[in-house]
Amino acid sequence: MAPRIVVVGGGSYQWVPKLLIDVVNTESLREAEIVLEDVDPAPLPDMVAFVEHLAALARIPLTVTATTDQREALSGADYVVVTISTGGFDSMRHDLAIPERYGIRQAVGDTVGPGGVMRALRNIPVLLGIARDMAELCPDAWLLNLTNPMTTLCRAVTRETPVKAVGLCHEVAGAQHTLSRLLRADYDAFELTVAGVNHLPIVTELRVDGVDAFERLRALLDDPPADERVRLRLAANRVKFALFERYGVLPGAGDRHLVEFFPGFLTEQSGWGERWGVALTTIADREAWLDYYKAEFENLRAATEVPKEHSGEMVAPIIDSFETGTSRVLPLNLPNAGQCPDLPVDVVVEAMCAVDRDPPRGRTPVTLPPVLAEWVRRIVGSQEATVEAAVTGDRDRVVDAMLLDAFAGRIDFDSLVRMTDDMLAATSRWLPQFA
Amino acid sequence: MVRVAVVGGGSYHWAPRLLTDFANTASLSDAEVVLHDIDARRAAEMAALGTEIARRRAIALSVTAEPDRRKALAGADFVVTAFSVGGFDSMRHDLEIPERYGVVQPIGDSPGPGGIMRALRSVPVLLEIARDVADVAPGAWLVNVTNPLTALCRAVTRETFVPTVGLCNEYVATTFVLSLLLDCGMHEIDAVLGGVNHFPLATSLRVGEEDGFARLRALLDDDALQDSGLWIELPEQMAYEKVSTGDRWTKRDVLANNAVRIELFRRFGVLACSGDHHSTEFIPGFVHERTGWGASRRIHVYRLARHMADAADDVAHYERLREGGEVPHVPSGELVAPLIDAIVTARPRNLPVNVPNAGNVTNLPDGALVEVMGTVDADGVRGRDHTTVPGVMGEWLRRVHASQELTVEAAVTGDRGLVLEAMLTDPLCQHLAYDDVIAMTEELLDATARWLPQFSAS
Repeated sequence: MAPRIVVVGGGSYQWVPKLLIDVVNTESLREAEIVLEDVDPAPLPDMVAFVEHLAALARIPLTVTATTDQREALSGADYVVVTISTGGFDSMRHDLAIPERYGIRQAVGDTVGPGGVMRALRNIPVLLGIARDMAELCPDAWLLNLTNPMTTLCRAVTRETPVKAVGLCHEVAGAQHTLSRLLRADYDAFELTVAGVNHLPIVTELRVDGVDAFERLRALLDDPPADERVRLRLAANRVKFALFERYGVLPGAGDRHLVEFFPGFLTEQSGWGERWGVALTTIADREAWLDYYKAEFENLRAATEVPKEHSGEMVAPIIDSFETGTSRVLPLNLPNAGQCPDLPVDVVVEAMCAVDRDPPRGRTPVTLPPVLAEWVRRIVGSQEATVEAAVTGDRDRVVDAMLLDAFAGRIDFDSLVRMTDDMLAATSRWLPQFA
Repeated sequence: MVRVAVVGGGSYHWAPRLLTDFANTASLSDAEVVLHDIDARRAAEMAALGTEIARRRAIALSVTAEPDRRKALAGADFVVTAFSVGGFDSMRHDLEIPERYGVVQPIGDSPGPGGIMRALRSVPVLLEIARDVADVAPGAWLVNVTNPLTALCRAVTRETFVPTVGLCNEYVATTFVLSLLLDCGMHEIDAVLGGVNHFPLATSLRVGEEDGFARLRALLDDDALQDSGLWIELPEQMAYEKVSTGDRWTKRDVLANNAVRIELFRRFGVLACSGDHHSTEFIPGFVHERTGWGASRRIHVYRLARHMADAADDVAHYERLREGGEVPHVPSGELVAPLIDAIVTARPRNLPVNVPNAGNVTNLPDGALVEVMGTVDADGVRGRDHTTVPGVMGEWLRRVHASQELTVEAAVTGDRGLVLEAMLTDPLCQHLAYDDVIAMTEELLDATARWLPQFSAS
């Protein structure tokens, strides 16, 4: 039977176009029933028209409807894709500006750090509302979460509800892409072994056509070719290569994410990351991206054929594997059931998982170098406190999460407590659980 | 007759205290004490003091100096280790170099860059001693009072089979502070501890038959009670800053001079049983530039001058004792004599001890060196309780433990990369730029290279 795929946050210019192009290009999903749900009705008619346009171009029977009624959307769903941002830029502005006043600058602010903590506090109640509706209306459906901070959001769902949830992120694919260019090897020839958390997935083994490629990477770093493109690519990934040279394993996410887990790279004396080639992502940057997504959306609406290039997102591939049983190996965020023996059970970890008709599962336990394992455990400590704070609405637990965050040592104890108060106050309208 | 060897027996700080305590302890008043020190003259000086104490007290205590370490250790029942490799010459670098990078350490002997470097210097020496003990005094207890206590005891229990216990007086000092706050005797106080040395964390507290935490909370909620006076005059050496108006010291003054542990207790319900100058080396954010390096909470930052002044006081104390002063009858507060007494007399005592974790602190792996309330009797020393340090403080404890394990690994292997990892994971280095941690570590290793033979290129 054709799967019913619901996109919560279905008005997203960033996500809907690329996800739906992937769906339309996936043979097993040609009859899918797409439901776009969003709290904002404004973009929905355009999104529906766009998806209908794609289906017509592809000459497939895929259907699409839109609604602002979450329960109506979720009824009978097979897959629920979640791409939300509670409060959008209005709330995120505070995530960056308030810590900056206290001497903490964040490169992204959506994962860990004060911004990542606050974003979790805003999104977790919304996501739990979706998950609880799912438990009632589509108890067998998979929740495919693309929303940040991915680790704490997925952890909240698996901790608080019986809903099956998996977090999907493109950062490992992005790293694999970088490596394929640097090592001049085909993207599909790579095999990665990964353990960590989202935005800090650590590649512990790297093979190209079955042969260890870390050796080749080391040789490249020791003696980089004069090629300008290689030079630029190395310069754009200095943090991950510094960590690779130190630990012999390679963090598989963008440097702007990595520096939030290792704030020693993000200090005033390094020009807030400049020395490492890291630029801070601002709200203005994000507004420009949104303008770009909107412009791109207009181009796509006028397209005369469906773009064939895959987005690199994993929503369509994982649904295809679930539906057809096609075996894939994907980096997935799932509760730790032994994928990462260095970390506590049940916390959400990112690891390469086997996906087919059976529930997705880690392949072999992946251990980290001891020192990196300790860094990840520290992050987990703060993330667990974040989830506890979001679920309980207890302000002291928010302070706990901030105190355990990697940025905590940057400012003094009293300032940290005040910063937390300021952030809770400034974003209180998106934090009903703390009212 | 008990034979006690003291390595570092020429210490002006330790020898007078230990010898006085031994003289005051019936089971040790006829002990055979052998003092060994790399400074043979000082050991002989202290042996003379010990002989003089025995003469004045008319007891059979025998105190001799032995310049050969293996001869000193041979046949010992207890080996007390109290030494400092490089003394102030090395410690100066532990404090001054990190300070240039923005790390101010109130003490610098536990974790923190200073504690790490001190461990690197002391671990190889202590391991040599422990191996000699295994050889010439098998079965003897190694009683270590040298800092950093946790890393040093861990190295011995990791690398040898020598029965080892670390002893520290911070918990005893805490019971005095609590006796001031709760109007009770020190002996009435009993804590369940889970932590490491200089960060022993009480998860519950009894005062006699009462819940000590409930009484402490009641005091914190009762403004008038905080203005009440103290049951005993405040000893001058506590160096408290008076915050209350009026002539007499009040409980408010005691609270204000323990502001960090009181803040942590209010917030987390766990009481740090070490002074704020120690516990703030285990937690980022208290000794921070913006707090005037801890001044906002009256954290004592010793710096080298204060450490040297303390050492001068020790010399003066020794000289008074030597020149015919009264041999004090009060216990020094150090736990070496009570521990040995409990073992040799088989009269059980509960003492705070640093021993390998055997399920006592569930936050930490077994084998980790933990400070817990111990039972000491004829069977030796073991943890008494099983406890979990909750929440944030439990996680801070786990993090410090991770850094300490790296420190021990670095000290044993002589791997410079591991020294850097210990620094990177240390609580006091969390605000530093990555490049600075690397530069600071190199600078510390280079400046103290002559005390770090295991790091010299082979």
